Amino acid sequence: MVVGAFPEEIVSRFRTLSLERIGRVESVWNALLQGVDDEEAVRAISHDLHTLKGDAKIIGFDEVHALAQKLEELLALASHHDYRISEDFELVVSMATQFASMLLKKKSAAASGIDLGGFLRQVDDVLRETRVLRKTRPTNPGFAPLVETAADRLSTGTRGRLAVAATDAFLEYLSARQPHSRKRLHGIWRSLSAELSRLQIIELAPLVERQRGAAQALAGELGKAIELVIDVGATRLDPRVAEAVEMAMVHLVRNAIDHGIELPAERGSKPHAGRISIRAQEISGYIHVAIEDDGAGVDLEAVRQRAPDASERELLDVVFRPGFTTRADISDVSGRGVGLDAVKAGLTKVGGRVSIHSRPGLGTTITLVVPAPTRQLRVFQFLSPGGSISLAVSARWSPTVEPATDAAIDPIQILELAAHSRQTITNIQLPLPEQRAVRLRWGLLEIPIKIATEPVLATAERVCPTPDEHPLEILTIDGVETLLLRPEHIKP
Amino acid sequence: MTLQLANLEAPMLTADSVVTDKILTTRLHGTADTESRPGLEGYVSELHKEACRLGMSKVVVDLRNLEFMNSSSFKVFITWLGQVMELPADAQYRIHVLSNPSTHQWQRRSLAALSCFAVDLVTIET
Repeated sequence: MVVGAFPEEIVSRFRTLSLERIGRVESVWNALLQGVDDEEAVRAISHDLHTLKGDAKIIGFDEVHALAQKLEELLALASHHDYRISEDFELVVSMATQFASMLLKKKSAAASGIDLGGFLRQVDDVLRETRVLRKTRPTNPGFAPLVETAADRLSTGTRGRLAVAATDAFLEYLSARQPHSRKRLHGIWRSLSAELSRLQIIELAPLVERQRGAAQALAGELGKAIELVIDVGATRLDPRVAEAVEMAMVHLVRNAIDHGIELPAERGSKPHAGRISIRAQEISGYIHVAIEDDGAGVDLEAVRQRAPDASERELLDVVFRPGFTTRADISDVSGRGVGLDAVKAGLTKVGGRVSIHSRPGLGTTITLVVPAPTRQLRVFQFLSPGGSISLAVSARWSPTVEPATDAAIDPIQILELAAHSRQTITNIQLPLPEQRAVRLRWGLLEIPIKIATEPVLATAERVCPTPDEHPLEILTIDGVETLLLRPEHIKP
Repeated sequence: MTLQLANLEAPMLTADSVVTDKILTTRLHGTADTESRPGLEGYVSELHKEACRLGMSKVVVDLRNLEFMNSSSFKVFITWLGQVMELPADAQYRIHVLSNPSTHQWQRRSLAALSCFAVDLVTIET
C-alpha cells in the first residue's frame, strides 16, 4: 500500500479553493442573518461545504473536515429556524469559519494553539440546545441531513485508538493473577475486539445511496434530468478505502452530471433523462467500482487544447493531471473542485488506481480499482521465553534462530508483562533449548528477540487492527490469541 | 514610549486603557451591539497596533462591566485574536480576559469558545 503526502501544488490549490469557499459561506451566512432570502446562494454554500468536507478528507485535513461537517449541521439547523437563532449560535458559526480559515492556512490545530476538540464540544452544546427548540419544518433542500454520524462514520484515527485500548486490555488480562480478574479482563478484551471487528468493514451500498439526493439536486439546479442506477451488491470495503472511494464518487458523480450528461434538448435520440450507473464487483482481490454515464463523453478537442503536448493515447489520462479542467469559466459546479488529480491521489494513497474510458456522444466510464478488504496476515509465530505467550511478527521479516545474547530483546520485559503472565496455547509445539533468539531482518533493520520455540509461518486473522506505527496488535492464529510485535516500533 | 490610544466613546459603549510595565489594560463599559460595532472595531484595531508598537507582553481585557456583547461585536475579538496569532512568535502578546459570567450570562459560551481559539495566548479569569 502506498502511503504518502500529496504534492504541494495539490495542497496549495486545495487551500486556495477552500479559503474561497469559506469566504463565500461567511458572506452568505451574514446575508441570511440580515434577512436576505436567497435559495440559490444557500444551495451554493451547501455545495461549497460539501465539497470542502470531501476535499479536506481526501487531502488529509481531518480537522477542516470535522469543522465543515459541523458547519453543515449548524447551517441546516439554522435553516430549520428560518435563521432566527441565538447569539451563541451565531457566534459558533462565525468562529467555526474562522477556525477553518486558520486551519487551512496552518493545517494542524495543535500546532496553531487551537483547542479544536473544546470548540467542537461548544458547537455540540449549541446544536443540542437549539434542537430542543426545533420547529417541525422541512429541511432546506440545499442542505444535507442534520446528523450523519453512524458507526460507519468513525474515523480511522478513532478506530485505531479503540484498537489500542483493546490491546491494552488484552495485556492487562495477560498479567492478571486472580482468576476472576483474568476472566473479567478477557471479557472486556473480547467485547471490545468484537465491536471493533464489526467496524472494520464498511458496506459500499449506503455510501453510494448517499449520492442520490445531492445528485438529483445538482441535476435540477443545472436543468438536467438524471436516473441514478446503483448495483453494488454486498460489496464491502476497508474503512480507509471506503473513505477514498466515497470522496471519489462525490466528485465523479458531480462531474458526470455537470460535464457529461447533456441538457434534455441536446440528448438527441437518447432518453430524456441521462443515466448514471454505479456498479461494483470483486475481481481477484480487488474491488472495481465503475461510474458510467451515457452523456456526451469527454470533449477530447477541449482536452487537446489544454494539453497540446499529450499524445492521442495519453489524451484521456490528461484529465487526471493536477489543475486540469476543460472549463473556461470558474463559476461551474465541478470545475472548481480540487479535481480528478486529487481523486486519483486519494485512491493511490490507499493502494488503488483509476482509469477512464470515453466514447464521443455515448458516454464515459471511470473505473476505480481498490484492494478488497482482507483481515488475513502472514506471520511467523513463536512462543515467548518461558513458553507462556503466543507471539508473532509479520512475515516480511526474515527470521534466523541463533543463541541468545544480552543484546536480544526479551518480549516479556519489553512489554512490561509480569513473570506469571500466561495464556493457553495449543497450536505451537516446537520447543527450543533455553536461551535462544530469533534474529529478525527486514531491509536495513536487524533485531534479535528471545524466543522459546522455532518461528513457524502461519496465517493470522486481524481481529483488532492497530495503526501501523503501534508496536503491538492482537491477532488470532487457529483460534489462539497472539501478540503481533512490530519490532521496528518497540523501544527497548 | 507612551500609549497613543484614544478612549472609545460609542453609542452605549465606552472603553479606556492604561499601560503599566509591559501590560496594556483596557476596560469596556456598557453594551456592545451592532450600532457600536464600527467604533469597537476601530478601537480594537488601534489597541492591537499600540500593543505591537509598545512591545507589550500582555493585554488585559476587562469585561466585568460590559453588560452585553452581541455576536457581531464578538467577531471583532475573534479577528483580533487571529491577528495576534499571525504575528511572529516573539512578537505575540498574551490576552488575559477578566470576566464575570455569573452576572453576565453572555460571557459563558462566548469566552469559553474564545479560549479554544488560542489556548496558548488567551486566559480567562472569572
